[in-house]
Amino acid sequence: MERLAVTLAAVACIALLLSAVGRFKRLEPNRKQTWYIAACAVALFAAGSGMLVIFGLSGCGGATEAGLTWDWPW
Amino acid sequence: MDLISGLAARYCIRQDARGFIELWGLVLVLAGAATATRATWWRGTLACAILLTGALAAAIFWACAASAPASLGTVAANPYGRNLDAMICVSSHAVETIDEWISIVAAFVVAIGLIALGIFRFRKLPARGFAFAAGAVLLLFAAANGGLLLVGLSWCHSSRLF
Repeated sequence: MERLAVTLAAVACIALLLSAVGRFKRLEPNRKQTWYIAACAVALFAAGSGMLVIFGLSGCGGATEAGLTWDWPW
Repeated sequence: MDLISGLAARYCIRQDARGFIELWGLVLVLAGAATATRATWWRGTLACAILLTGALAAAIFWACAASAPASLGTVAANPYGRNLDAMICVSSHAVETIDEWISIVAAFVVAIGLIALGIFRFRKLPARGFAFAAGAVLLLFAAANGGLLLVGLSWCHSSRLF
């Protein structure tokens, strides 16, 4: 779970950085929109991946069961 | 969701988590590109790619989740008959299939983009020639990969190589 939390935190920082570039840099409105879209895509990726991993891990609180192994996807 | 279906769904997500996360990333990249562009035809192309990617993800998940109880021996009878072989073929090679699909979609989208640039943007002959040639090569690559994907799945299904 620590690995998941660190990964999600890193992706959230990337999303914040992208949106900060769009907010504070002097760009045309179209260019600003592109940065905001990229920030939203990164944030959605983190949210969706986190939900997938948490769903896959749910119910794994008990003792180890033969055949039901889990290894992190990265 | 009953207990076996719930276990099967979690088993399939755990088994192919990397592949599903890659597909989710692909969908978001395509959706972002479709949102950022104004050309209607380009949006339509990307929307088709998104729909096909979603259909692939759903098919892989269903093939795994539906066949997991029978293939793990947790149910007495196999309700799918010979189709179980095809489902196990799809689910046991899910990550490879997904990686190949991503390369096909990426090659196709870049090819269409290069050809569109050659038609609408580039004016000089060398640039146009390069754009069309590169687009053709990428389209051939995508078609060849698509053919290999279908051949691989058919071969697995027919020979039960698992």
